[in-house]
Amino acid sequence: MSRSIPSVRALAVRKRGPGKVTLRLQVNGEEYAVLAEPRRTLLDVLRKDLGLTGAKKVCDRGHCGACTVLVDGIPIYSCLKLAIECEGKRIETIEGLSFPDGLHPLQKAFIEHDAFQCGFCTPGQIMSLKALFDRNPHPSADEIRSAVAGNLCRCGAYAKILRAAQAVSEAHAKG
Amino acid sequence: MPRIVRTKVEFEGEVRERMAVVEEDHITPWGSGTPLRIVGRSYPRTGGVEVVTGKATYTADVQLPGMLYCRIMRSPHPHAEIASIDYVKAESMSGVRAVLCHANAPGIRWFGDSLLFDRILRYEGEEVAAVAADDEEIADGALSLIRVRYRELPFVVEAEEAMKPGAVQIHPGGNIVGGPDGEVYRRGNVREGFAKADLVVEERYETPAAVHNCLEPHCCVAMWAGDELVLWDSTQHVYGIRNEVAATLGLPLNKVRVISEFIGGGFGCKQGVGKHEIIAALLAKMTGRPVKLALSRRAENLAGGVRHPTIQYLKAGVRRDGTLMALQLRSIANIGAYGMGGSEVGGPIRELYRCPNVLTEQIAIHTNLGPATAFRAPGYMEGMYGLESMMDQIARGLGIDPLQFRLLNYAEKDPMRGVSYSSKHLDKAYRTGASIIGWESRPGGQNAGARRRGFGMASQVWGGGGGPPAYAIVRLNADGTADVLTGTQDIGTGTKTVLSQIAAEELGFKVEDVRVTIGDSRAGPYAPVSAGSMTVPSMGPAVRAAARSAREQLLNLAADLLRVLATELSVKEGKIKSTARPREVAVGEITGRIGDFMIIGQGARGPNPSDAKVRTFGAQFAEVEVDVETGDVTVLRVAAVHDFGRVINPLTLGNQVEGGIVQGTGFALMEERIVDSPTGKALNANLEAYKVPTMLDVPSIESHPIDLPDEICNSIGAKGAGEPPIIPTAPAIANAVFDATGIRIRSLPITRDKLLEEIRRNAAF
Amino acid sequence: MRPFEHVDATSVSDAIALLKAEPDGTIIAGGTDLLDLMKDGLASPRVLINVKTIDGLDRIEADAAGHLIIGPITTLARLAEDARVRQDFLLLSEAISVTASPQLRNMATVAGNVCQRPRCWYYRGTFDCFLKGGNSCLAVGGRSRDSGIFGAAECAAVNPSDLAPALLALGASVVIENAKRRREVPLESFFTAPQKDRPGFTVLGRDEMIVEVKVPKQPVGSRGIYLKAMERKTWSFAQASAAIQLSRAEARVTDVRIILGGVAPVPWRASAAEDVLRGKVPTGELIERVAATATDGAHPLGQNGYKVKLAKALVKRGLAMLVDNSRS
Repeated sequence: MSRSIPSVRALAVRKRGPGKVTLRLQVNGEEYAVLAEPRRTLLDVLRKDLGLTGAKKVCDRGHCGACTVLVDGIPIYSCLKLAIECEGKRIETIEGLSFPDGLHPLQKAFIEHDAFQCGFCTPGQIMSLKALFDRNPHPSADEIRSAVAGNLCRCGAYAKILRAAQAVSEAHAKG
Repeated sequence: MPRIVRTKVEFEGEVRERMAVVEEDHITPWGSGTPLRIVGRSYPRTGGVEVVTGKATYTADVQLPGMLYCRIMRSPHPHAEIASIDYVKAESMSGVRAVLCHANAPGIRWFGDSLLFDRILRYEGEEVAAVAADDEEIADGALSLIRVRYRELPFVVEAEEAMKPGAVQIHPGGNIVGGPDGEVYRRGNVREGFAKADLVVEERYETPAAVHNCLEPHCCVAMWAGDELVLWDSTQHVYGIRNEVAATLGLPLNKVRVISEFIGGGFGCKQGVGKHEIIAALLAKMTGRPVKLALSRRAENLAGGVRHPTIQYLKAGVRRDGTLMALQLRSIANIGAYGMGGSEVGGPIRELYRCPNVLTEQIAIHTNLGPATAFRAPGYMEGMYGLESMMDQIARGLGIDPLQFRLLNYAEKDPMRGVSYSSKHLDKAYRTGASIIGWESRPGGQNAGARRRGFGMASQVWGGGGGPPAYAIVRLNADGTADVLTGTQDIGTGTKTVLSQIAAEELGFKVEDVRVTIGDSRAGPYAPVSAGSMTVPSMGPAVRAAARSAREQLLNLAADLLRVLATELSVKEGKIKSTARPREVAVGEITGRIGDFMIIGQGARGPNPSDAKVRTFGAQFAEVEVDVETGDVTVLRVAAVHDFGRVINPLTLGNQVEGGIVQGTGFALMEERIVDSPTGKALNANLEAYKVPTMLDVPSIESHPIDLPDEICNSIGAKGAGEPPIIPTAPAIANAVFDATGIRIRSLPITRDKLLEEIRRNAAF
Repeated sequence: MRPFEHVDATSVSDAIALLKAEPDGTIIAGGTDLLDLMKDGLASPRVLINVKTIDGLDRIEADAAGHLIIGPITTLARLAEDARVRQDFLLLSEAISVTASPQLRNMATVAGNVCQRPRCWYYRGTFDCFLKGGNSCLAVGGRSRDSGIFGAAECAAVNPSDLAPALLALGASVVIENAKRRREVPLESFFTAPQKDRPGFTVLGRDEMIVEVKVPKQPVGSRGIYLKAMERKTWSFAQASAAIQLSRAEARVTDVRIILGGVAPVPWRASAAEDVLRGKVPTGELIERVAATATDGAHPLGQNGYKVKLAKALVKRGLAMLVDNSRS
């Protein structure tokens, strides 16, 4: 990269890579330092470097939703997000969802209403819904459907996913 | 004492006679009058907590110390010969631990005369080379350094082209599997039947190549421990993989262990061994380190298997009064370069209706496409679309209600062998489904405007009842809990949950005191492939038999200890009761007395009935809305009524039914592998352009299973439920689309382009 | 994906200087298209210039004249939810609501969406396609179901954006900066026909950056609608779409813009159809005529004739809904 040195060095920018660099990430409230190339996606860092395999690699192209995690509370596809761009952000994965004393209401509802078959899409579905319920504790059926419109379930457990989320919504409406 | 019997076992439409080792004792089936506490009730899934917390370890999640990652280089051409391959640069790259290709791989036979790494590549996506490296990025970089010179060969991807004389030959034996008319079935004389018919209709139907696209791709991790191979594998059959891998690598069966606890979908494409398991095992051996191999999504679409596309020439003859006189089918299945053969596309034509004259010819054709594999209800789903579209057309042609027409030709006995069914409640399914959807009161002929409603229905028939061999062990622990051990697997159907219910029921234990261990060829005895709707009707009786043996041993022991007769004792909710004494004794009190001496019950699936045909049946009714200006099709409602025999767990069963309908909706409206004929390459080998249904594509589903036990098929009365729900969905939707528009699309999927083009051609609307 | 250096730019001038200094450099904002291209080997930048670290590039505000100013890295989700947008530029929210999936809308940016590359399967796949240096467009004689019906001379790929037709219907422009100057380009002249080895489909130079998207204030009572047909109910690119913005005085149409998506290499303005409607009172019969004119000049390929009927239907329905709405 010799040709670029004079002009770029003069700029006040932070340039890293292409080799491994230290990334500081905050995942589920804990700080991690990871040595990884800039090309590594958040999904690969979570799964391979941190051993958090709840988010799944299915398509690796943002076409399925199984890798959904929350960054600063917003659901995104971690396969299309560079880990290096997540420094300083709050990353939440399915592993961080359980309350200290038990399961999240969505997790309980997924079990009770059988909202999965093979379960491979489940972490992504739950994270999408978690983001929805965080901003709207009592969503309508249409709002629930829209919230998981970007999460494929190949087994087709959609009706039960909807039912599970509706149960949580109704519980919030009552309580 | 176990004994050996001969029994007929049917798998995905094929009947085979097999020897089976079974337990001596006949177990009286749970009948409709048997009081059951646990079986028949909804229980949430065991393993649910692991799934919803992300802690469930699928094969794709297995990470071992020192593990290498394998990536595969695949053929960019549909048909080519490798002229030369240079992998020196790749091999010497830092972080690369091994490279395999035809130049250095052992000459393992794979399909016919071809090899694991063959010089001839017969489809786009076939394996050319494999690299094991410290990381996927390194392996990918190494693949780009492998230089291959291909000699491109002429190719053929269309089945009817491949059948022509002089077509490119994919294998030495020619492209047509079997004889020129394929697999032939005949009863009566169709020519005479058509001669006696008042109306004869001939149509051509097409079904697409649907890709399973299990969310977890084909994936394995191979690790050698000395001379033993441990293989974590995303598979529908741990024992099958063990046997095939051992045979391929020349290992004793007890030196191969296959583990598959959580599986991210199968749907048929993970039944048998693939090249990836062997490649991973070889690379692990070469490097002395564990090797993980997961197919990319693109590879999954190119090489992971497809439902074979079919062309169906169907001819039907019928009398004016609605009596079916003859049915004739010639089906052509495009099974790709390495498909094992065609599936039973003619199944529904042969056995759904009482029709005296039937001829089916099932032809399977090799082409330069990825291998066809089984996909949920292989053959029957495709054949049912043709048949039930035809029946709808004929009924309308005769002015008979489509449902009435089906009842007119109802088969009380198996039309193929004339034997009785072990149970058949299709008539009830028709009536119940019609009542749910409002068939009798459906609006007819009031369609106007852009958005038009329509109703359609279709029937379902499929094998059932399972069969041997299938084995289970039940062990009682000192504290009164039980372990069920079997080598089966749960591909998302809820097998584990259902087996715990069956064991708890028979033992008289609470469900939570029964733990089921599956998915490990070393932990439990042989279990069949999780396919063909076989798992519950095969494994359920085996588990019940093992549990019964354990319970009998427990009661004998209790009788000794309590000084009563064993026949006076029973177990309920984990407590032993005696008719002679008022006091109940907890099971743990008895088992605790013997400590680590164990009660071990063994059970085997008994033989199938020889004088009855076992079938699942059902009917689905669909209501759709078609926008005749934009071509939008919306499936509003589906009513599904199936006869699966006894329902063990209504909650998980409902999920199966809904899932089948979702996949059936995809097959009807959007799913299709698209191949560019001039280049022979796939255009949509990804989840963006290959459409699968989303939450918003799903109709409102009402499922009412006919929960009547089949007291003949096996000891638990369940016939199986995996495949039936997907079978009638597409024809029900297609018939509803016709009802709404008067347009009949005879080629699935019913997409906007086809629909609008037909509307334009007919100058309709 | 090839290795690359990653740079966090802190100002627009930094980013542009980097682009100039790094011939193999490219801007990353949302990354949803870029990473997809990089994973498929269709883009192999050596340097990624992250502009998400530049302050103020995600603003949504109104200037003194009431025009909407959108920062280039504003995510689609934020734009769609913005109160001002929902109040005065609802067409944008409508178009975004049927774009991609919630997660993609949370990641994808306005400028990135406008600049996204075509989805044509010959381009995205391993084919010797015209855009990648091949001799001719393989879709023209091949699988053309998703291809364009307009302007498909050398390449039949379509512009896949939903937002772009909506922005065009509102008369939007983009402000582009390079090292020397800043210019405002109406979106109508921003998109270009495809060129060999330059699948960008826009006039944006490789050392240039979009720094603003400007949407002019709409006349009082002006209303828009976005209708889109897809292969499934959601999360698909348009088979055809229609973005229509209609302004009326009394009953008469004072201005109308009709932009078709998914049918041409650029968002396709149906000018002739607009002319039929402008100055008239929209009756059912007139709307039929406008819709019929909307696809004038279409040249369908072997498998995409349905798009003609479809585009007409969307225009007709969109206009009818706009007229009905303003009546009530």
